[in-house]
Amino acid sequence: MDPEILEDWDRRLRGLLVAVCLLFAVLFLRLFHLQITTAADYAKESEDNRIAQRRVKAPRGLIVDRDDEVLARNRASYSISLIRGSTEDDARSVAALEEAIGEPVSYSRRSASVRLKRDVDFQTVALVEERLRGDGFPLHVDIEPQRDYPYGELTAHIIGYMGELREEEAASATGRYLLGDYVGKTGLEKVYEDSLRGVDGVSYVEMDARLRIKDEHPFPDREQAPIPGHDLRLTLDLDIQRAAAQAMPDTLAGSVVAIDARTGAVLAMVSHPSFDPNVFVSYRAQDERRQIVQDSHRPLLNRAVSGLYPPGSTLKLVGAVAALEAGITDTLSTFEACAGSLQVGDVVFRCNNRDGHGELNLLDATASSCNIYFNHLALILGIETWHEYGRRFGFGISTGIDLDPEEQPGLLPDRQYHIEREGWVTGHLMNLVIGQGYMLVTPLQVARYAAALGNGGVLVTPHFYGEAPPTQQIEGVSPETWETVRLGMHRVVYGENGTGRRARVAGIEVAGKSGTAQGPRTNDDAWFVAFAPYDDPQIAVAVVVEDGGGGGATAAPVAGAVIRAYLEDQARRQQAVSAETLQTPEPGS
Amino acid sequence: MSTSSPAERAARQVLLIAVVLVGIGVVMVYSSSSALAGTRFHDAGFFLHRQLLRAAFGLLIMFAISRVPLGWWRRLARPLLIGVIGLLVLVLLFGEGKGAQRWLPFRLPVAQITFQPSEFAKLVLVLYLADVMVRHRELMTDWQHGLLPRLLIIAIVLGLIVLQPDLGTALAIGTIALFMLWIGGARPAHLACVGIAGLPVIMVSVLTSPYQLQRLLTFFGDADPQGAGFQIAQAELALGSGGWVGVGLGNSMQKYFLPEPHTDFVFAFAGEELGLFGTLSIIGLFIALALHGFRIAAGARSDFGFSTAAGVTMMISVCALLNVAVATGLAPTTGLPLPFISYGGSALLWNLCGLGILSAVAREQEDKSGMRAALSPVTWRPAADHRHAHSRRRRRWSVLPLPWSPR
Ligand SMILES: [Zn+2]
Repeated sequence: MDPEILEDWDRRLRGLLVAVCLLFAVLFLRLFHLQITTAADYAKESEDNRIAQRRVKAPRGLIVDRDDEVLARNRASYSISLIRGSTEDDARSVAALEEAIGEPVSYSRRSASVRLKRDVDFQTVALVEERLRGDGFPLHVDIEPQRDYPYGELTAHIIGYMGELREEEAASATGRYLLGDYVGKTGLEKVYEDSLRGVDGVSYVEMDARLRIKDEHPFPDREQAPIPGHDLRLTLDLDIQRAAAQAMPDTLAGSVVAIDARTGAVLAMVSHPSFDPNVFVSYRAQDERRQIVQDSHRPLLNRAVSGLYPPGSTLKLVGAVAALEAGITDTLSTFEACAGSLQVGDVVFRCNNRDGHGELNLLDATASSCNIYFNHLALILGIETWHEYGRRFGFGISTGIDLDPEEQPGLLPDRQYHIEREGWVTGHLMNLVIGQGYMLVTPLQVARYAAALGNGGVLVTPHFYGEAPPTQQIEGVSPETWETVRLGMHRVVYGENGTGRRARVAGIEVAGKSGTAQGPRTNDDAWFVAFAPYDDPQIAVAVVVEDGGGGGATAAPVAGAVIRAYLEDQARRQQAVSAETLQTPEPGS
Repeated sequence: MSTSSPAERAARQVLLIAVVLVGIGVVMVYSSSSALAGTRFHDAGFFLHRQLLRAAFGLLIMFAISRVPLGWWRRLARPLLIGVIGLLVLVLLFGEGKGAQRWLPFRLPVAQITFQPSEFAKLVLVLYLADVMVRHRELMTDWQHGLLPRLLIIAIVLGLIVLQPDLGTALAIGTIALFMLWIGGARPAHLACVGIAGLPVIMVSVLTSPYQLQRLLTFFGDADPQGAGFQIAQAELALGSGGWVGVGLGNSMQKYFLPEPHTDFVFAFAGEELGLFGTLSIIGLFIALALHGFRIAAGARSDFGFSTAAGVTMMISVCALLNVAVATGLAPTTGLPLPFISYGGSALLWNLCGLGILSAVAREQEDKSGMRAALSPVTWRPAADHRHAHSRRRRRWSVLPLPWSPR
């Protein structure tokens, strides 16, 4: 080792130590200056001039339907705060407030400005403003924006609601929120929280040493105005939504989903029973909130995306498409005549018509929903082919809709799924092909399936807001097959023996498929899927009524009502457009 | 085994100072953050509990590291550097933070942990430069073959941090790096050129970030007590209200006026609650740490030990100096935490790791076993030379006002 270098290192190290000590000495002098020499000035300044930064909440964006009908807005809510003083002063103010309003007030001495009561009524505001403040209590009334949902139950599952930030959430979002802030908890309020929220502003308040406000706006130029949140205009149509909700039987649970068959824009989404979301944003409705949460009918559940149902006969068209493409059947061929039941091994499969449908081709089997025809078809088809077509229609996977809580993917069982349970037998496929067995779907998936059946295999992504996500063409299905299936669905509504005749709507041609699914409930679940108009499908609808019995009887009229509302809405729109063109003065006249 | 040799004592004193500083930190964090934690989380102990957990974990790691043979760090220096560059790239791609992307989030089943790679980079760069100083000792005066390759590495690390953008940390690391290169023998003229070349980078970074520009303008502008200068004005107010002994623990008024009193400006709050007595005690502890650190460096048995000890000491001293300078209004706001005291996990952990390594250097003096020398890649000074150097050093250092007797 070269001693010269060592020597050099040591020299430099010593220099460094001296430099560090010198710099610390400078800080020492500065501290002495600040804390001792000029301390009196600072103490004085801090006595009479304390400036606090205050946050100015940005107004949250509105949520409106596609005709600008307001679905979520802000209203003023009053809260009472205490400006902190000494412990005794605080206690006296709190006692005065408690006596005035005759209610206990929770209070903790932990921050400069203590919020004592939130969302109080106007009477209390008047009491505080006129009496207590006049008596010199350092209370004041803050106005905070509070969310309000004018259509309450009707849009509860879509819009969702807001709630107080939980502690864990506050920890991970430090700086953006304060505890006690309201954030979107479910629905679109949660999904679009970031764009609805806006950016909070800053203002300053001047206080004296006891934190009493001296000047509300000592530095008007320095204040930053809040940037309001973005408004959301949804694809939802409130008229169709209302028609769908009214058409649902009052006493039964279930769901209706209507989407634009071309884009996937959601026009209506009803989940029954519903709840009033205003209960969740109010400070005054603790009991009602508990009632909703504990209700055994589970009103909080959005059945359209989180309800899992066996799809029943509505699923038969998957088997039909698969069989047509596999060459197992065509529009004319028939299987063994339906005698009302079919025995395979020691299992008996029954048809909905106990007397039997006789010999049917695919179109008539679809129209009359003959189980035996599809059982025969399943015996030849094979689970792999059927599963592959089910997957192409989007079953067993989430649709990707912009909604919270996250949708259920459902269940599209394959051979492996059965092998892992009780083993594979062909009987499973005979159940699956008629929408029973382990098969589970959400109403939203079924609506998308109906759209794809109507529009020649275009799989859309359902959405409430923004540009339509790209669509996807279902591959490996010929135009003839789509046409055959469409024709079958037309016969469901207009055929002699069609099960969906109650879905007919004057002025528009409807195609559909009924379903009656055996679920866990005492009665069957009623299903109906539909698209309209037949020639140029614009709307696709899925209806499920839990405990509803026959799909054609209970669910088909609901689908019809939704399509009627769509037709009326279209007519109104056209009228509005032509009225506008009439009002425009012609140039030169 | 002599357990009370001077080196062992220095090692123990370093660890003791760390424990005291961390203790002060926990108390200050609680006292300054309870109001904020109360409004924000309805739990006055919110920050306290987190900081206590981190402090306990960091101290444990520090004690463990003080037992790790120094050679390991030398072998790890380059892999760690590559790792840290990778993390800095990741933080640019996936990081989160307000205004700047500084934190890498890790989601564990129990809690969400965020990790700030730029703090880690500080320690790793020190280890890397310590290794380079020893490895290329003779080349340090050579611009092309000695200095330039190291400067490129430093520039990559600093560049990635500036992009976050976190100019404060980048400046601190740059300062530490320059001082280390200087100790290592680089020519002052070369280093001055590097410093001047860095100025345009700093300028561009400041001018393109309104956040940093505002901080700088505030510092050089008139005594604007609101807006961006709000923090500085409030910090001086806090220090000024402290006087000799302060307003007493928990009695700070200023903490209601600052958005985050427990992080960058915790020193000012210590000044308000504990007065000049408190601030000088904290500064005194940092000076003691620097003295111990440089003494450990001077007495190190290996060259790597020397350079590492000097580097770690610089790392902590520079950060402490910068933070206190900001809190007392002598420098523009940089966003750097006060080592060991400010709320935050990343800086605390890596600073404690640094002290663990420093203490390991001190222990190395005493370890004469041939086994470790044989296993370690560190070049050991010949015993005769060592004795010589040691005695030389002892003479020289004994003239400095050291708080311990050099045996
Ligand atoms: Zn039949």
